[in-house]
Parts: sequence; C-alpha cells; structure tokens
Amino acid sequence: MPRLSGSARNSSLPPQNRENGGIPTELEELKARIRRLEGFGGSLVETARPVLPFGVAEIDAHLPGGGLMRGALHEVFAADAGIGTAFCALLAGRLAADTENHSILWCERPWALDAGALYGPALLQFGIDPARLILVRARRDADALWAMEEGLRCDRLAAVVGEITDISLTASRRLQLAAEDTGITALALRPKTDKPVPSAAATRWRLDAVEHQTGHQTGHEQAHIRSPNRGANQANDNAAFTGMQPGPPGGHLQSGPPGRGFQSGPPGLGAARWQAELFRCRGGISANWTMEWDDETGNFSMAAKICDRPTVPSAARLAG
Amino acid sequence: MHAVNAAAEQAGIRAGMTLADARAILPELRTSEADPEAETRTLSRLSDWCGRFSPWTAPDEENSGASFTGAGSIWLDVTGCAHLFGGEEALMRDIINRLAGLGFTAFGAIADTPGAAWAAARYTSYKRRRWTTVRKGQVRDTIASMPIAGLRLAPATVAGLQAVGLRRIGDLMPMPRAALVDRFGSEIADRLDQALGDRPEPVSPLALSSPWYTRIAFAEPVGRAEDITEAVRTLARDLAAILESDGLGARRLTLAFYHPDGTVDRLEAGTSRASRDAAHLARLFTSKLDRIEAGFGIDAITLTATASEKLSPTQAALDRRSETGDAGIAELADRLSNRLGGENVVQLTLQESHLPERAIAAFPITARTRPAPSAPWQHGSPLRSSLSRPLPRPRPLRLLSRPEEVEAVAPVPDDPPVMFRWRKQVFRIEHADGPERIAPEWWNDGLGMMKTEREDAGARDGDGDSDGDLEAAPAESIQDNIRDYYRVEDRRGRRFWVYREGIYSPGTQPHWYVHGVFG
Repeated sequence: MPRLSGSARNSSLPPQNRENGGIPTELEELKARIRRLEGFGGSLVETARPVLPFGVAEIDAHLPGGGLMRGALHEVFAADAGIGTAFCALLAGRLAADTENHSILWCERPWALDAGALYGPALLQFGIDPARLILVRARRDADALWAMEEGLRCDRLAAVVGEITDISLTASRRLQLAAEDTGITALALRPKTDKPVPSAAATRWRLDAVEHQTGHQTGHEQAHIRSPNRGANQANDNAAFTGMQPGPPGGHLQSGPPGRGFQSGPPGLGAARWQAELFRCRGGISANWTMEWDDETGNFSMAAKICDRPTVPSAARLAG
Repeated sequence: MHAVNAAAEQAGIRAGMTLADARAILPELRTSEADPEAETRTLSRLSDWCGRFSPWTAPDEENSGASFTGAGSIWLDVTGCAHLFGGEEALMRDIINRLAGLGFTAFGAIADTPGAAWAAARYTSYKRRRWTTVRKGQVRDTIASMPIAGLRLAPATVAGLQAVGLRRIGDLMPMPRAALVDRFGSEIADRLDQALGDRPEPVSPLALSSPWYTRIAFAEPVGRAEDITEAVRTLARDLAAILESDGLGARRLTLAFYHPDGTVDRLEAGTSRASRDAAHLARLFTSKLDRIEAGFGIDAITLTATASEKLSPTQAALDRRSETGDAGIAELADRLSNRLGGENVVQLTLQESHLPERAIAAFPITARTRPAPSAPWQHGSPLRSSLSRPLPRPRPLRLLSRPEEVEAVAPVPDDPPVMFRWRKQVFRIEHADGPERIAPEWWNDGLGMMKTEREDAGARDGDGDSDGDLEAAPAESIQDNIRDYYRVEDRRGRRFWVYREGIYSPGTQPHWYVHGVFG
C-alpha cells in the first residue's frame, strides 16, 4: 500500500473524510479510490503493484510501495548525459536480472542527449547483457515513442528505455497505459529542461553529477589543482584557461597518496556520485538524494556524508 | 513505319514502309515518333501487372529494345495457376479482357512450350475471340500450319527459307536437320526443338518467382482500409498454411497491390527468423498499409514469400508464454525493423580490436548473416565472474562516434590534463585514473590505416593481449597512434574519457581528445 502519510495528497482530502478516518473500511476505500485515480490499481487488497527496490533503505522507504513501480513510465532528466544514462542502465539491468524476461529495448538517440552512442562493454557493468539488448536508432521523437510503445506491448521484454527529447502529456499517457497493460517498466531518458511539461509518468527524476566541495578532501589537498578563481563563472574560467601556461602548476608534482597509479597529478577516481532528485512521484513526495555507485562492484548506496568520506579514495586502477 | 494499327493495315499500310509511301496510300494517316524505349518500359510494366495472374512473368526480351516491332509479348508461366481462374480458357479471357480495358489490343495463347505459344499467339486466325489455347499434345499439329516466321527466326533466315519454298513450319519438320544447320546455322533447328518441346527454353522471370504465393482478387475494386487489412490477414493465413505444409517459414515477403489502372504497388517486409505465424505475417504489413494509395481501388492483392527457410513444426505448448519465447522478441524486432528500417534496429557484438571504437560492431537484428562475435560478452558482474581474470578496464557508457579534439592543459610528460576545453566549455579536472595505453594492433601499421578506417565500424579480427606493453613499437607511425587514456572527473563531478595521442616528445604539443562520458 502506498505510503500516503505526510504527503500533500493526503491532506488535500476533504476534512469530513478525515473525521471518518476512524472507520478503517471507509478509509481503505477512499485510499483505494485515490490509488485507482493515480493509476496504482484500485483493488482494496493490500497487494500493491510490483516494485523494483533500489536496495537502499532510505530510498525504498520513501517510494510508495517500497521501490520503483513496475509497469509504469518513469522519466529521467539527464542534466549529465553519462549519469542519466547510467541511472537508466542500472534500473534496466536490474529489471532484466529480476524478471524471467531478460531482453531490453533501448531507443538510442545520441543527438537528443548530445552525447555519444551507447557503448556495449560498459553496459556489462550495469548488468545489461548486450546480446539481449535490442538497440533502436530513431531519428524522430515520434519514431522513438512508437518503438517504445511497440516494445511495451511485447510481453517478452524486461524494460524499455527511450531517449526522448519532447513528450506530450498524451504521449506519456499512452506509454503509461501500455506499460500498465503488460507490466513492463518504461524509462524515458530525456535531456535536461528547465520547465518540464506535465506528464503521466509515475516518477520523474533529475540526475546530475555531484559538485566537488572545496576544502573537504582534506587528505590530499596538496595534490589538487588550485587556482585562484575556483568556483568562478565560466568567463573567468576561460580567462584562466588562456592565461595558463602548459606545464606543472605549483605544488603539483608533489606526490599524492601512496598506492596510486601514478605519482603525480590529481588523485584517483572513487565511486561515482550521483545527485538524484525525485521531483515528482505519484503517490509520494519529492526528495533529493546523493547516491554512490561503485563501478567495480556494481554496488549502489547512499553517499556517505562528505565529512565521513575516507580521505583516500578507493584504490585507483593501475595503468593498463 | 514502325508499327501500324488495324485500320491502317486494312488500308494497305504495312510496317517497314517509308512514311512517304504510307502517306501516298493514305494521306490522312496520323503518325507519331517511335519510342522503342518507352515501349519497352510499357511492356515491362504490363509484365509486372500480369503478376496478378501468375507470379512468374517476363517481358519477351528478344522482341524488345531496338528490335521491337510494335508487337511485344509477355511470357506468363501459368503452371498451376489456371485453376484459380476457372481453367485455361477463362484465364485467357480474363487476361485479354483486362488488357483491353487498359486500352491494349492483345492476343494470347496458352501452349505447352513458350515457342508454340509465341507462334500460336501471332499466327492463329482469330475469329470471335483474341486468344487461343493449344491442347496438350497438339503442339506439332497446330504449329505445322503456321508460317515459318512463327519460329522466331531472324528476317534474313525467313527470307532465305521462303526463297527455297519453305513457307510453313510443317515444311521444316521432315527436313534433315543436318542440311538445315549447314545452310542456315543452328538457329532453325534450335527454334524448332524449342517450339516442340524437345529442347528446354529457359526464360528468366521479371521477379524471382516463388512457389509460396497467395492471391486474392476482388469482384469490385476495394478502397476501404478495413477491407484491405482484412484481405491481408486472409492472404497471410493462406500463405502460412502453404508454408506449414512445406515445413517452411518466411524470411522475406512481398505484398503487391494491383490497381485497376495497371499500376502495381509493392510492400516488402522481412522477418528476423523464419515465421509462419499468420497473425505475425499480417502485422508486418498492417502498419505500412497507409503508404498504399488506394486511388480508384485495388482489384487484386498477392502475397509472396520471396525467401523462406526451413522451420520445423512446433508443438503448441500448454503454457502460452513459453510458447512465444524468443519468437515474441523476434516479432517485435520485425515490426521495428519494418517500420524504422533494418539498419536502425541493431544488436551489438564484441569484436577483437584494441581500439575502443572498433571493439564493438552493430549489425541489423534481421540480418540473415551476422558477423560472428569474436569474443563472447562476459556475463555477470565483471569483477566477480572470475578472480583469475584481470580487472575489466573501465569503459565509458557513451562513446562519441569519433573522438573530439580538445584544448587541454596538461603537465608533461605523461600526466592527465589539468583542465580542458571541449565544446566551448571549460572542465577543470579534480580526479583522474590512468593512463591506460591503447595502441593499434601491430599489423595495422600505418597512420593511413587509422585515418581511413576510423569510421569503419567493422572491427578487425585478431588475437591481442597487449594493451599496454607496446612501449617500444618499432614503427614510428604506431607510436603516433598510441593513445594514453585517462578517466577524469571534473570539479562538477562529470566523468570523461580523454586521451593523448602519440608518445610525448619534447618540443611538440600533444593532442588531447575526449572520447566518451562515464556514468
């Protein structure tokens, strides 16, 4: 059952219903009606629609039903193309691993996201078997939407991912209905927009990179590139760029922490950190998380508080 | 005069006359320039149109083009087709009447051999009707009374035979072959044997014929989308039944629409695996039917399996889901391919190449022959799959179709960039991993190779285990093409795959490229 407590939706109920809240059956009925209106299925039975848990307690507790609803449309706005893609790939990979169908349909439109094409070897890290991936290259949004809908009507798929520039309310409704019919989860991966138009998606996410905080990576300060106008705007960046001479900046050649792949230069990469903003959630409220994804283990977790982070990032890979 | 119509012929004008002679006989004669090419085209289109009667049609090549005499002919192999029209007589009547409806004066003949049919169509003395059928076994008697020109001989040969008093085909039959060959070459003997069926005469059909063919004809032209869709379903059902009885499944299909004005529209569809599921075959076309202009209606539709493969009979499973299995995916792939184009619905295979852009290849999912993957995808978690296997090297989730050069500031000799400018944006690097050295295979030795093949998706075969130990490559060009890849994260947390081209040498400015983004 969706957790409605504390949500704005619950408080929008007429007051008299709340007064009658003491009678469980009536309350249940009303809640069921709300669920029906929200497309969760109107049955009074407690069995909510199946969900895909993130495996992160904090997120799962927040989402209605305890995870990402299956058989629904979810929109992912990629403020960063790589991270948006990774988020979708992660979800699709888990859906494929979790169901008896392992195939994924992915409508790829690199120009919509202004990034390159999907790269097979990397998909393995997200649990996607490229041999089970049907890649569709659609020129237009309309073609991609059509392909997604066709995919959603084929009950042998685990997930359908579509890179879509614009999607109207009607089009999203169509996808949502098709997804409800077959129970296949649809993900719309979209470039970032400032004002997304309303859609019928069950959840809408905005994925971005996590900005580095100055002064927090205390363990390897001296290995960092320091520039006087850190955090300045791009015009200043550009000015700095042209003014900067090639060659080692001051302090740069001091050795970094031991055990790294190279002795000079910036510290190695750790787990990727994603800013996941759930800005619309049917039957729930919005939230914002910083997640961490470790490409070596495939583990996905909440990011530790900045101050709790280890001073030395996990062992960097050696030069190949 | 190239060709004359019946009225002119009655007035005494013959093909081959000069225009002045013809005008002298009939001053009001109307003429127009002969256009043999247009006539050939028309004949070819008509032959196409005849596909409604038989899947096997061909314009008579020998009588077209420069040697076209205004009386071209079309071959139809109606073996096994006539019963669909109520017998050979009825078939001929239908053909001739329909051609008349299109404005053509046509004569037709059905005979056991092409040669006999050719002669019979031209030299039968027609009375009420303009077609004839030569009964089985009657070929010899029928053509014996016809002029020797009916043997499709060159005009000079005909003239030569007439000069020695041989006018009828029957006159030639008892002649000793050796004498004929000595005098006129093998032409006469060959033609005679062909007409009598003693020598096979292959005629290549216009379209590749296929025995898996169904057709539906309408009494009145239909134009409603629902009717056409229903007709396509019926055709698919019939075709599926034929295919099943032969133990085959269709791989390529052609759906042809015959319009009353003689034009033919065709739709093609392919399947990624052999199928004889009527509903699936019909669905391949229903999404495309809106491309067909109904116009004045459609009076016949044919569905042909132009390519088919063996498909063993399947037992209907008790559980519907397991029955559809991979077929469900294949059908989806077919629908997508048919609408978006086969090249746009692809799967990826791993190819053995050091260069990341060549390490994968995309191939159409409906392709009949797929490039053999040179390496299997590793399943499961890349790390956990095997402890003995070296760590998988990190690869970007999205790879740019071609590396984009960036303006970078990097310490020498071999550090990752401190900052770079890409697409007019400045990225300041906070973290970096690397380098991972990727060199082209040693047998691809040249810069030219790299440049020309960079766009080439086809990866090279080979056996390579040397990603990083080509330090002292002998050829200088390889050194120039060595790439040192770094995984970098900028201050905003975005991750990129950048590389420096070539080995550092003092005094030269290294070139940096962005090749992909990570998640």
